[in-house]
Amino acid sequence: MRANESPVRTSVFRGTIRRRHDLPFPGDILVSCGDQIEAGAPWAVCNPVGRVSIRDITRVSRVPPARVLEETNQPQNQEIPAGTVIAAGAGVGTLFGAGDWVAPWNGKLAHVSTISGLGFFQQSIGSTALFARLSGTVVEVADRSHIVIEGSATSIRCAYGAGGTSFGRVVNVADGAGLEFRADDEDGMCVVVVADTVSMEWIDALPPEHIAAVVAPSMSLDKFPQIRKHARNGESRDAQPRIPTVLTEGVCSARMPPALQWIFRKYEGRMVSVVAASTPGEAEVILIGGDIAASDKRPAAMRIAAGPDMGEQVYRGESEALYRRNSAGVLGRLVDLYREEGGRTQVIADNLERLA
Amino acid sequence: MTRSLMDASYPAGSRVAPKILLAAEVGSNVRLAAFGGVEGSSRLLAVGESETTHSAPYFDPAVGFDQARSALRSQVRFIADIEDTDPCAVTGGGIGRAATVALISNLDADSHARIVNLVNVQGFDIVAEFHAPNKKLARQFDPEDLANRLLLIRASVVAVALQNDRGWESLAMAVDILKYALVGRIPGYSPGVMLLHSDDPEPGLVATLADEFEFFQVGMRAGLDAQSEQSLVRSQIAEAYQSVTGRDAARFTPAGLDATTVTPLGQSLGIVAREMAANNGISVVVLHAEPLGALVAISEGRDFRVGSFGYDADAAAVGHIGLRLPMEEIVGWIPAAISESMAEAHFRNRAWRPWLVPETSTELLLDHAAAHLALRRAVRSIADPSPPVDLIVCTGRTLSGAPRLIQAALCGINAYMPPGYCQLAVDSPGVLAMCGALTATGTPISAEPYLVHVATSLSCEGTAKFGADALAVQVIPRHGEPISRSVAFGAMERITWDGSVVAEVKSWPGGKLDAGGGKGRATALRSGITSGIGGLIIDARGRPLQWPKEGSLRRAALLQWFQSTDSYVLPSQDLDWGGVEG
Repeated sequence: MRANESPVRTSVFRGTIRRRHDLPFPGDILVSCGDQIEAGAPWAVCNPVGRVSIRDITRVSRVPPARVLEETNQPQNQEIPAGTVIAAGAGVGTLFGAGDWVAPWNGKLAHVSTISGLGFFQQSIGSTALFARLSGTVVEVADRSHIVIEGSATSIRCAYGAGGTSFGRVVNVADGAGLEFRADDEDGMCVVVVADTVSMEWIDALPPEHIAAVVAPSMSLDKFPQIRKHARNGESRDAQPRIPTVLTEGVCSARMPPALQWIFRKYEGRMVSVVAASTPGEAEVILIGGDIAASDKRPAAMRIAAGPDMGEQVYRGESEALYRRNSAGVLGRLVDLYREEGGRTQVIADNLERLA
Repeated sequence: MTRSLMDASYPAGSRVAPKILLAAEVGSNVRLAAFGGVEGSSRLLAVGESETTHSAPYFDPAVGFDQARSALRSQVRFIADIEDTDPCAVTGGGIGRAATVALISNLDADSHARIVNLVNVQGFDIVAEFHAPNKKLARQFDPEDLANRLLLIRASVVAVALQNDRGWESLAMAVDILKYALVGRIPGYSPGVMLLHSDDPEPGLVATLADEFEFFQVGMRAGLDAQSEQSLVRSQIAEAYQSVTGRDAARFTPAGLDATTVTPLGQSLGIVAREMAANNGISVVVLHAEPLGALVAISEGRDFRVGSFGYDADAAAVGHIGLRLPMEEIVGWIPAAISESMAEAHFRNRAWRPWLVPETSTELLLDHAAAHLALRRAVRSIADPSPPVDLIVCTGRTLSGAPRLIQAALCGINAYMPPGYCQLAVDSPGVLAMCGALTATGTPISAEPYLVHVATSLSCEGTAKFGADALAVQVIPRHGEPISRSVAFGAMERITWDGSVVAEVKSWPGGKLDAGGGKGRATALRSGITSGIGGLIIDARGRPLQWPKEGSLRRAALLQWFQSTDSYVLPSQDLDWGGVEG
């Protein structure tokens, strides 16, 4: 049975892209619709809240709710150092009295309710600036919620990400294994792009004061659990390396496909955003600016994304895709492919990704 | 006349342009199904599928929907042009978390139960109840502890139902906790707030809620059981539900589908289960498995119960059910040579690319093992032990897309562990959820025409010694010789016969075992059955499932189950344990 032209999932997208930037905590948006913004520039300041101590002041001071404001010794919404008495307890000592309400951390008295009699003391952890991941125009601003930036860029979808978002200039490293990398101070933060499979030890050995992020193809089966069980992760089940890290291929020992290496080499020294998000599907590398054309006159490169050949670069053969079963028995559009390193193979279209 | 026929979007030979209904399912892929109304009933015309594009590198769900529509359009172009037709129903496990509710209430026990029922019936999943019957909230709950528990649960909606709240003390406590102890503490978390009240609450507090949160006010009055009041409350909660699910779904569906009804997957499957059960007077279980999660809907005709596993239920960034299950348990179901770390690598890669299909038999086994173990947990969350059921329907990407339908049926048996006799069917085109979503919009679409009868299972409850005689079974085709089998305890067996012939089935379980008629009592099916693809699957593994603990015996048992049911074929190199750790 002959199949129609098989659509293949896209892993690299060039052109005008939009990225929504959400306010994770209450805060202020600093840009307006129509503003131009550069990647790495702040677009909002947010105010995360730390721990919150809640006390029933009517019990502490033994007064009715209407009088709790009089019983608090501190003004609201002003910084109070840890150890300061917020409300004095009634009675003598703590045996018969409720004890004083003492600020457990540096923070502020956010609210005292004259209805319920409750007081809310919030730990201060400072304001945090949020930076744009994309250079372009602000096309949407939703108050207290998000903005949308539209700009010209190349987005490369990554399989895995952890460590957060960062920005820097691309430095391609030819050989990842046993590398001694020294960043140049004058060039600012670098995004290290490695073509070979990496280990957690290698990432840990990089100087975090110079390295903004690591872009690598894969982490081998025996190295990946080291990330998962890394001491810094604590109780978290997901990896949190010291430097934001993305893997383009996944947990395997695949090298970076030549088509991706070519793109990163073209971007040597230029600014990129690395979104090392752990939510599946959200990790990406954004290459700012849209002036990189497709690689050359060769046919469009694809990668095999599953099975024993995972990570291998292939090109479409002349034969049309046919509905057939693969070795697992799955019926699908089996695409005839040339391997980058020679030979031919057939893979179901669902397991292919376009790289250019 | 000729001109008008040529202008029409259907071929000249056709006399009736069918009304086309589109439904969408968003999971690891986007699927659009077209149903055409012909002579009063709607039938499936075609399904178009594409990649989901709400994630990198697009972050634009419209691209995937357009591609799916384009794929569908090419298939139905001779019937109608669907270029400008939007789906009227959207469902799927990928359109956001289930709408969960944390309920804070000081209502009396009866009113509280009624509210729980009303909120549940509208589709919300109540994940926590903070109930202080007829008391001030502060007397029952420490406010700091309440705030921390709410943060841990991270429900989509915090519902506050209060009565006899003198001086608004309880309402003020709830409002202040929400505003000063929840907002800003976890990235991106700000719940919707539903206030259910019987009096006119203090305007200042209501204004605070309206300013700070997505706010829904549900007016209850004295005499909640009055028909009109119930109806009003129901509609207000339903509006809140649509708003919450629509908000979550907005990230995964294209802008401009405002008129499209979003129905959570559990509700869609529950509706289908209920309709099938009611129409046929049977009990139905729908099992839905996909990389993101597993879902089960059970119905006996009047209502339905839904249980789920996965779907980022605790907001953790894990995208595959395999990563939520103990790896040791999954690997225990694989007779092939594979270590736990290899299995974990497989599921991690699948979490990042959930749309991939298995390339090897071992990958297929891993996906199916994770699916049935996840489904088993979903079943246990609502029915433990599994009650007898007449029909199990397998659906979802993992089961509908199984290379052999018998594999989906075996997953169904392992997941639900049905006692006695049970029919197994597979939703081969994978449209069950979309049928339910369309039915939820008021356009009933029967899902039965899309089910493929795969097999009938006969299972025995109880335990016996491994290898002892467990079940004697006789299949008597109406045209042909009777087929008899004796099955040892711990084994599976399969009997097939001519697919066009109806057969009677009789069974004689061993003394301690129960095949649906009581311990050691012979049973016979009242009506005849057809073979289907899988025939009669005899499951003599006991309930609860018994199998050897020692590794090699366990693998031998698995191979016996797979080979006797003709479900999986493993190449000999996959069974070579040389060089595999642990």
